[in-house]
Amino acid sequence: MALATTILAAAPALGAPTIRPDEWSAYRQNYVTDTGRVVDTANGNISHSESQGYGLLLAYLADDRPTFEAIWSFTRTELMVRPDGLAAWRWEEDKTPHVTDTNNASDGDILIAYALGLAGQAWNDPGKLEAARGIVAALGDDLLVQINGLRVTLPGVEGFAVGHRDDAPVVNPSYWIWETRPVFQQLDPDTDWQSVGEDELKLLSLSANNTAGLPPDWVSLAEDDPRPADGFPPEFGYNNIRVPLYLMRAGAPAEALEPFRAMADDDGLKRIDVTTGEVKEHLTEPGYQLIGAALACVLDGKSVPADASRFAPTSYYAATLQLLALDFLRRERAQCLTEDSR
Amino acid sequence: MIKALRLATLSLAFFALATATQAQQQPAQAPTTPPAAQSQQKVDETALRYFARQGDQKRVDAEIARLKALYPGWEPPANLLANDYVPDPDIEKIWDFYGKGEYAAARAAIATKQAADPAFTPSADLLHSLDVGEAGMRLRNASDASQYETVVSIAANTPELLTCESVDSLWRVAEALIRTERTSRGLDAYKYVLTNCADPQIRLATMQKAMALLDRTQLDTLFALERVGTDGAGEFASIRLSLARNALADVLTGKSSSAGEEDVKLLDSSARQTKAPDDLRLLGWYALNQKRPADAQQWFEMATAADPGQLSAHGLAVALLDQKQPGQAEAILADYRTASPELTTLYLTAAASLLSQEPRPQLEAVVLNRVVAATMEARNANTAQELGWYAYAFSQPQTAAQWFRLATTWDPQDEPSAYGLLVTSDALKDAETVRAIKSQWSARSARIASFGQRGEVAPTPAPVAPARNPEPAATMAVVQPQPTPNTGSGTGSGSRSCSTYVPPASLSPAGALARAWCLMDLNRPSDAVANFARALNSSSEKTRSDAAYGQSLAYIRLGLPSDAMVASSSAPLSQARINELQVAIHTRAALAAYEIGDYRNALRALDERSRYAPEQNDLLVLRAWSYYHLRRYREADQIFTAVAATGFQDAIAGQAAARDALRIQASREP
Repeated sequence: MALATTILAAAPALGAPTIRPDEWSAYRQNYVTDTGRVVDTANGNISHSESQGYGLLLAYLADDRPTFEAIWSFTRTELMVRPDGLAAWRWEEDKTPHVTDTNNASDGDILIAYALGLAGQAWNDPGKLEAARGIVAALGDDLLVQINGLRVTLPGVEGFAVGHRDDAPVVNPSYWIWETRPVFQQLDPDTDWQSVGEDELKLLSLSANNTAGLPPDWVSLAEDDPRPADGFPPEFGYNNIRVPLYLMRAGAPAEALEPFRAMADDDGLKRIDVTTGEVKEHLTEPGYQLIGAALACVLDGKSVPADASRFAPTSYYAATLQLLALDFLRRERAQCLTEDSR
Repeated sequence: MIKALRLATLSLAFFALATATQAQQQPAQAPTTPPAAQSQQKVDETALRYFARQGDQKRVDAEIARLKALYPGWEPPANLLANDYVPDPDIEKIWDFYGKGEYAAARAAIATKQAADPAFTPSADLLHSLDVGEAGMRLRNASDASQYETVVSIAANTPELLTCESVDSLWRVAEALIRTERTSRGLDAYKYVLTNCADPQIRLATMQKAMALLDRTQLDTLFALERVGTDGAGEFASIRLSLARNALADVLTGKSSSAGEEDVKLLDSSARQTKAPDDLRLLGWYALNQKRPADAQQWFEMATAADPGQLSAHGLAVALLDQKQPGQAEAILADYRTASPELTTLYLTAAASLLSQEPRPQLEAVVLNRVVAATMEARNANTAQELGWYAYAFSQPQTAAQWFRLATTWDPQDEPSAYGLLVTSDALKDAETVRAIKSQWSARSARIASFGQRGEVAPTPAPVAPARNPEPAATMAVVQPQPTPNTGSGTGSGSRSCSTYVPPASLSPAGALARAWCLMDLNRPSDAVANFARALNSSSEKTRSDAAYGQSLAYIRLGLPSDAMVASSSAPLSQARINELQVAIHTRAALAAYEIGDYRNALRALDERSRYAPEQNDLLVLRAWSYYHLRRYREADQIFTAVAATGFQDAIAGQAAARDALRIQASREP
């Protein structure tokens, strides 16, 4: 209950933009086209509902309405072709049709609905609020499952639920974006999104019960104890490195953040085999370093090094996480930053 | 000028649908007031004047049509380039983005202008136009991604999309309705276009789209909306012709058994007029399929005149073979016999039937030489066997033996070749070969097992030792036909006891039976038939059974499998003989059907045959080619591949052909 109250307070209201014009302009030039497409540069220059959702959220946080409008126009016309109102997840420039997978990815839908909800409210735009409501209601209808009394969001409509695979249900904790739950609660009061967020937090903790003490990216909930899902590497990897960032942004308490100390060191973040604790890769782009540094500041009060907070567009994913981390630090933990990084 | 038309009736239907199925799941768009309802509002002419100044008449027309549809009673300004109108360049820029379909840029430009000038409010017309434009784009993307429910739902919410100007949306909606089993509604969409849209290309394209999705009966309701030109020709004449072609092609691919009379007539008169080779050939193959080989011959002759080459020659040769004119077929195919594996096969088939004609024709050296060359090149056991019988008929048992031996080398499983070698070896008094063949084949062939047990063994024409091994082609190549007819006496097979004619009626049934077997050994099956018939009058069941069996074999040798079938039932036979006859009859029927291009019946005969004996490689290859000709390439490929895997050479070319066809087929599919 305490957590829910904390989370409720966390939705970023639009005051002065927390992403600076020079940072946002660099991001836009590197990853956003004039047609409103947000390009995943480290992944064959494809786009997906997640990149569009991040683009919308960052444009809102940078208070760049023209870019927001362009990204939303692209998202609506190119990806929102499913009859259930969710977005197709994968879009490729050089393929016909451009949508190469019509399944959805719920992190993308969640980010899109969240950004629309925030922007609709801030800019007093009922059309965007209406669109956000539609997506949230569809998520509630099609993606929520109940496991051992806990309600959590599935990663997609196809392929993860019971009946779709032997080790189902399978979930991905990095698709649980806790800061969205209070906004969803307002948009769609019919579903208890607050308690969904709490349940997802409980399941996150349960799925970290392994040698590494960290949740694997893909988790099977077929049995009482969560375990790494079949067919995926049993690792805490690129997906879940966002989890502590999402927890911090949602105002989660220190004990929820504590286990993630294991994923960070002075070099940046680590990809870790959860069954052995073995480090498989160091992720050293500034965006990843800043997550580790923010965690160290929130847990131990250590200042964030100036290098990690300087925005340097590298890959789409690292750059995106870096801007989200900067937004969080400037809003909630300005004291972690040096004077000129605030 | 193209007139924009609101799809009043259709859109009402869509609205009904939208409320029924979509409203609950689909988040409604932000409520927008339809501009048409705001009749008092000033019409935003920015875009119109902008396009006019750009000199873009097409967009000007489209914009006038759009505004007229939105504001009934509005008339465009007389002078679009008048100076009294001062446009806002920012707004012009937005309309420019809109005009190019760059809706994201237009949205961004509106927001940019609003940020710079908080008093700026985009006109309802501009916002509505963008909504419609984006809905059209979304509809197209949903259609491309096969999200047909979404297509229908967008159309229901955006009836402005359903106009002659954006006919692509109408086509996509029609397809979405048909693919979601609302065919009559899809049909309505096509009818709407044909009732309201005047552009001839749009109308024709509409029929082409409909053709791909609807059946003939459904299409007929669209043909009812055809317009007739001043020349009296219907605008969809080309579509009717395509449908006629499809109907004939469906017969050839086994999808239907015959085409409608109208279709045949239509294509007939068109092809006579245009002389389009493909159409002429299609009519030829269709005539063959419908058992009208003489008509087919005419079509293929016309096709040859219009387009000489292997395609026309192929059809013509099949038509001629069908009419038992293998000599002409051989001549026509001569130039193309290496053009493709199937033409090689067809050529060898023609050559084999030419050689086996009764009475034996005396072939010119040039013909015989190319038959020999083709046989050697293809290592074809069947033609080699026929060359053997041909040489034998002209009293050249040594040459005959060489051919039979070669045939058995190429295809050790070929019973007729083994039988030929047996007969000639016997004639040549090559007792060792006779013994070898009998021991090898007796278990599998009744006629080889029983050879020599009836009648006397004929004296040999010349005491010549047969070649142990086949000679190289050069010495084999010449089969010199002697002017002596094979019924003559004095030399060779003619000196056999049964070689002079005796009326069968003058013989006892048992005597006729012995004589019939003797005639069979001389490969004179038609004379044998009459003698077996006499033997069938016997009171002895054993004699009658033997006679029925023999007559059946004789008919099979004559290439008359249905007569063979009748003969086999004229007296009780042992199960072993029934099986043997059935196998032979159906083999013969399959070969005969295949030779005339009747691939369906070839397959039917093979299926029948397979009830009595397993298919060996040569018949499997025949089966595969039959599938190939019926365009069942996948089945053809499977069999060719399986046979090729046993090392059977003939299958490898077939496998390549089937795979090519599959590739071409795949590349043509949308």
